[in-house]
Amino acid sequence: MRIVAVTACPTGIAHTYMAAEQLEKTAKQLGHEMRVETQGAMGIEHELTPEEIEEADVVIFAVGIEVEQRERFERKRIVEVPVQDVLKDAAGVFAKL
Amino acid sequence: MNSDKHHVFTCCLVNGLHARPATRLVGVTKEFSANITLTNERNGEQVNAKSILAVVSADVQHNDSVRIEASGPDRELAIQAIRDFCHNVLPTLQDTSQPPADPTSASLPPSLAELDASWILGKPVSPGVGRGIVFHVAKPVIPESVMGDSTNTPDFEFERLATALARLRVKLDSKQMATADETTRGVIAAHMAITDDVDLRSIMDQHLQRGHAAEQAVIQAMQSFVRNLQAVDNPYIRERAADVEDIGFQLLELLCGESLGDTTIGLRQPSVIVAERLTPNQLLSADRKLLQALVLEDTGATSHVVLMARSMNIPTISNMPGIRARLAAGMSIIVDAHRGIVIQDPSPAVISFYERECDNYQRRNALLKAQAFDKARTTDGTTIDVATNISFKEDVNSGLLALSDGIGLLRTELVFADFQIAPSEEQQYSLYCSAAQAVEGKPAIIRSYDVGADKPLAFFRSQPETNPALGCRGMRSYADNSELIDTQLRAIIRASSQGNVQLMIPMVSCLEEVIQVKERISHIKRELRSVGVRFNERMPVGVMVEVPLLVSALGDICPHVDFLSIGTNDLAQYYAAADRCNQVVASVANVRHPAFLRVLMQIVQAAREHKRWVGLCGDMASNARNLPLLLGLGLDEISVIGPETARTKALIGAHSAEACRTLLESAVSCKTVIEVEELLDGFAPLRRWASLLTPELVTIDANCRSRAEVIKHFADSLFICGRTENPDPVEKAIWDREQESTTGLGHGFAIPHCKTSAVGASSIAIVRLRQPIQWNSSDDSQVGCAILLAMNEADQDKTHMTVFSTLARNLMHEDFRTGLLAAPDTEALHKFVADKLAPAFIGD
Repeated sequence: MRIVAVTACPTGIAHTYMAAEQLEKTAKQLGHEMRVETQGAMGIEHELTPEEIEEADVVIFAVGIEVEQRERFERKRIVEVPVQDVLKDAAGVFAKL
Repeated sequence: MNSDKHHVFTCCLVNGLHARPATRLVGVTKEFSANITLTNERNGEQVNAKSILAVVSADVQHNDSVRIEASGPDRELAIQAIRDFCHNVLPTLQDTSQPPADPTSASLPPSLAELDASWILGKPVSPGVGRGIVFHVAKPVIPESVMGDSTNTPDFEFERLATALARLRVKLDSKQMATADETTRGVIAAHMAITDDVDLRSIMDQHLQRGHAAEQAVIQAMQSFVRNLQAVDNPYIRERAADVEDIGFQLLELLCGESLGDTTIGLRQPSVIVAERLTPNQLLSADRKLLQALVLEDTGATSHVVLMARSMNIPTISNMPGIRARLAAGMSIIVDAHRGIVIQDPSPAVISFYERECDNYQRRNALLKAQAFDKARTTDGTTIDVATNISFKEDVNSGLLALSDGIGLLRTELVFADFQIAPSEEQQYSLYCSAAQAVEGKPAIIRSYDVGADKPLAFFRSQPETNPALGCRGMRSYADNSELIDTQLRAIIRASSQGNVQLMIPMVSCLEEVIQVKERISHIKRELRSVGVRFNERMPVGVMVEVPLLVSALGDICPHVDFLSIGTNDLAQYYAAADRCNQVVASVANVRHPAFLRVLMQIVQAAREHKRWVGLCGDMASNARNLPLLLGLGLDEISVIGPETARTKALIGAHSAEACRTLLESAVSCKTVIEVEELLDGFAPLRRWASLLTPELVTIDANCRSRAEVIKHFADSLFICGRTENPDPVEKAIWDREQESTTGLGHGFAIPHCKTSAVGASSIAIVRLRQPIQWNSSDDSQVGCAILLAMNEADQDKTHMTVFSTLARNLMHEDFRTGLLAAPDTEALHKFVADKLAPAFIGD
């Protein structure tokens, strides 16, 4: 599958980045193509392009706060989970897709 | 406009012209027979400038304009001396100690709040923690017996008062001898000046003439001054009423020969004094070894008692109305003057909390002290000496020099300013030796007399001049005073056998003058040799760079001197042809003007070409805003006023020399001073600790038994390493984040974090536990290693955030986690993490 994701947590120091790393690592193991945008203390990094969003089969929001510029994903199928879930059981999150 | 008969200045002291600076000012005015008045132009108060109490009651506040006028035969000299005082001495009397911030009950850290102690909130005025038994002290009372009229003759009462005053002065004098604390000595000097005060004396005399007893005269004069002082706006000056009362009570005791109550305090065990108010005299009578803390109902943060307590490190809390009724004599209490609380009957858990805190303070002080003793070093490794300017004899042995890299300028005309006849060779020799010994082998640069213009010396011969600033100043006056100069040079040369003494010549403008002075030095050395007196044959001789002509002659002069030191005050005023004492034009002589910065650059380049040491000792160095420009110059040394020494060293550690050089290059290509100011506004120093993780922040085998203990451990570590000034809000911020959702990661790791302004320098701390603990009650995962990410809220440094996110991402990989657990000791663990994070530091 082609998957794009956004990670974001309240403090934006730790969990945003840990979740991003975990999603990328697990996607690779499961043979998915994956791009993750982080919305942390440094603002939006690795920003998803409109083409990447357009071409994705599904979007994962691993977030504890509102996603910035959510309108970019209006017509996409979105699976939203708490950031913690990605750290605890990333494979479980992918099983929901 | 200033003239020979008056001088107008703006009060630069944040706390106004209070007792101690006023004492120094009166010390100057009293030397002259002219009538001298001081007018506060803000409120129109005009007072006798020779009375310390009158000067204080003029309520001169920060930035008030003050006019001093003199009439009488020696008025011109008096005005010159006052002008000199205002320019050279007044700015050095700034108060540096600050009272701690006001607390709120919310600031108690969770680890203390959970101990459920019974505490009372007050206002901390001198930080620290003390534990002891409550000891009540009452205010002195005036006995009824002294209220009546005198049956003696006025002459007899005059005699009694004069005797009491003389005895009080002897008492104060012996107290002053007995203390080494500079603040206390200053307070006693101010009290001494009150006993001498002309206005106070004249009110007492009036009462005696009316047939009142000496006791009555003292009470009346005391009450009249207390009323005047209590009426002024400035709380700082209102506090001075307590000093007048203190002197009044002591005089009354001497007059009636009986104690007025608790005027002396006899402690027998570790105690906390609890009182409505305390006088300096009462505080001094208590045994410092037994006195653990003060709790005062009603004493301001700027009272002399509190200033003395701060200076003597006595924890003190004030603003506690009615506290005497709540703390019974003999009760055991803890005074926490960091948080502003008094804890009654502390439990063993509370006592051990404070014992641990005390230990944290000691470890922090040891660490910070070790850093301050080190050479000041920029983030990219450039070192620079930070020396101290000395203007007063007392400063030589005051401890001011402990953290300094030497004396960059000893102003001999100021240290002997109060001498009416020239100091002897022995007097000078002994002072120069103490100076050299105080800096233990580090340079002690002694400047020969720089007399003239705004700095007259009573014992120096000088002719009236139409334009003194361009007249016979500095070395130009030596020909007329050759005996005095020979005496001084002999004393300095002899002192060179006792340390790293270096001689600096002021106001040199050309090579001929250097040769002239050096010939004199050679002559004196020959004489000394012939009588077998030892000295350093290679004692360095340098020049003060302050005359524009000298700047273009440096190529000729460097081969004849050992060092250069830039005197920016005069150099700027002479380059700009603008009198720095004249407020209308002083701003023209701006040291941050790009054209002036180019001059400084030219001087340093000349020194480098000739391989000469070059320092800078003008006021420019004592202003932190100029520091990046001075670091950009690449000087060997800067010399600052005493209180700035440690701070300047710390600030240097926040800058990168490379960035400062780039800044200076941009600054010298600016066209106006405004452009330079804008450059400086946009120039952010790096944070003091460029690195987020130091070995001191790594702990292995820690004996924490709960999440609370781990969090407390982290807050304490940040405090000990000087990364936060206050661990309480850090502890609370970590807890606040924990409340949102657990920071446990699984695999035995947790990553608590916080983003708060209470963290001074963003940090990473790591703790590996002896026993795994349960991190969160909602899941049963065990944690054996916790990593703290603590971020300063205002930290704009992208590198720091990149390092945090890199660390967070790394934690998702098993090999990283295994490495964290496998490292055998703290150094190895620190190195392992630092290596992993190094790529993220590129560009730092």
